[in-house]
Amino acid sequence: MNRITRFIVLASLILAFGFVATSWNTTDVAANHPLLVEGERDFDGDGLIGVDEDLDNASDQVFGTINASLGMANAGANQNGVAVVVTSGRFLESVRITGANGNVTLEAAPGVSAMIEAVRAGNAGNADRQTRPGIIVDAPATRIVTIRNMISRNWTDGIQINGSSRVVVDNCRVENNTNFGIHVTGSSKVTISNSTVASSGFRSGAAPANNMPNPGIGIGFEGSSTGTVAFTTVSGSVAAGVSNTSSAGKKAVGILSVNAFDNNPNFNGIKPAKGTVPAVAAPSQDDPDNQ
Amino acid sequence: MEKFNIRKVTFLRLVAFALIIAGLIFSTNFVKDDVSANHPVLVEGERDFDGDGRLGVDEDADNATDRVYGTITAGLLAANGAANANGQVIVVTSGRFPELIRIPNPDAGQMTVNGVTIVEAAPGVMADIDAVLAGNANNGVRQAAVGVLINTDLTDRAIILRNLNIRNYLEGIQVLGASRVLIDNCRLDSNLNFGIRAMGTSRVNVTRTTVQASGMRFNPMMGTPGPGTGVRFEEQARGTIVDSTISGNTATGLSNGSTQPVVLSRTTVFDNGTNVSGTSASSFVKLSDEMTPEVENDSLR
Repeated sequence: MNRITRFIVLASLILAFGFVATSWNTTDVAANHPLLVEGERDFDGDGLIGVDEDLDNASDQVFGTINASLGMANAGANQNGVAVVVTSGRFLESVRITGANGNVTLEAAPGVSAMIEAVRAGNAGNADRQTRPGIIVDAPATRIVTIRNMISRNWTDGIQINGSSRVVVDNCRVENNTNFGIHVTGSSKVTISNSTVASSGFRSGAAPANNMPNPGIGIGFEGSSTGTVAFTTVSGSVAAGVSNTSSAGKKAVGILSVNAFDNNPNFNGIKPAKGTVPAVAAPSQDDPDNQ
Repeated sequence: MEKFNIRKVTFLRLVAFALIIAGLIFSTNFVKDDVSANHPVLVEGERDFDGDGRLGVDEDADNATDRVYGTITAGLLAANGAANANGQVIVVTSGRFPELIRIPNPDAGQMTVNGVTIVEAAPGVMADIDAVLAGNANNGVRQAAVGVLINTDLTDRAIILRNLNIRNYLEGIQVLGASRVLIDNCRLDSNLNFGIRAMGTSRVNVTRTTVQASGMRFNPMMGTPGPGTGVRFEEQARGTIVDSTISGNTATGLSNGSTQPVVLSRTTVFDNGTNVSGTSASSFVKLSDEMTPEVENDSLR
């Protein structure tokens, strides 16, 4: 083989490799595909869980942490796609959803318990995590973010929604978060349904974390945000159950069949609709005329 | 000797003939069993349910006795003892199904719905019927097609879709003809034109279902939403939408262009281009008093 032939072969190989790599990368960036996330049980039978599962290869599209599944490496969703938790487990991670490249859905398969949890016995990161929100959404208004069948506990805010995000929170459980269960800020639009928000402002133990409620609201709408809360239970909050201080006014938040009980008060700045469970602990606060 | 040979040949011919007849009778009965079906079949996702080491197409084709399949499409067809559009197709382990579901499936030779047909994921199972799977060669084809297409003029055999995720198609679910369809506990998102579209004289009951982000699909084939409506009724289709959520759709959340009424009750309709629209005010039955107050469309309050 003469020098020219060797050069041509080598150049062809380099070009071919570059083409394949570019194509693969394009597929990844384009993403918008569903990914599976293992909890503490091996779903795909490869003997790997957690970070090891994140790093094993780019073809199985099975991950061990939620943030890795939403990232770009190893054919993750790259903030454009669906991350489905397929085995139960505790996820000691503050999850960030930007929707930078498309719609994002984070959900646990039906029957799977996926806990976004700040605290795990003996874990070195407990104190740090307890100073952060559990799930942070800050996405463009051109994206839809869905959080379904997830549990978020022991953070400052269980779910914090910022900017102009448009979010659906469905069938989630949010509890023991010091500041807000669900904190809606900016001009975001949020649909909350079939969820339970409990014990906001009440978090105990795991010193040296600051467990002081600030303010301990179940679901809070602030800024110019709007939203709906339907078929949801909000109870046992240190402060208000559902609070609306949005500049969009009382009509900013629609309520349908919300069981608000044992909060202080149950509703703030909201006119509850028919089907809302009457308040027992603070009846005066549930009287629309007193709002 | 020659006479004996003639008899032997004749005898062998008779045996061959008898075997052919027996085979025909057997196969006819077998096919008949399939058509009469009305039995449940299981579909594996990405985890081996029956422990035979097979997944996907390999599970479809392994034998006709286990009644376990690797794709929903094969579970609905007739081969290998499947439901043949008459029975229950149950997804029993979580997984992604990059398929086009057709009930019936004329492209595969199944010209009619043979009975009540149910496609569902078992409780605790995630069945993600998705047009896109990273690196899959047919993503573009699926993204240009309807995800679940139901088309029958037979009104005595309902189609039930339960506990399914359907995403990234041109239309999530399209119902044609006179089909009777129940969509229960399903989740549809990121379908380009419509989440659910009912046409013809079909009747569609939507319960406990979420339809969102219609018209918002990002890559590999983004496309222009046309129009990006959550739930649409056309022609003479009618239906109900109860205990559901319709939100974040580019165009209309619930659009009724049918001459027939649509009942909307206990449903959150929020953050759509237009939350609810109809060709005439009378096309909707009065909204339930328990309807979530519209935030952006006070005319419905």
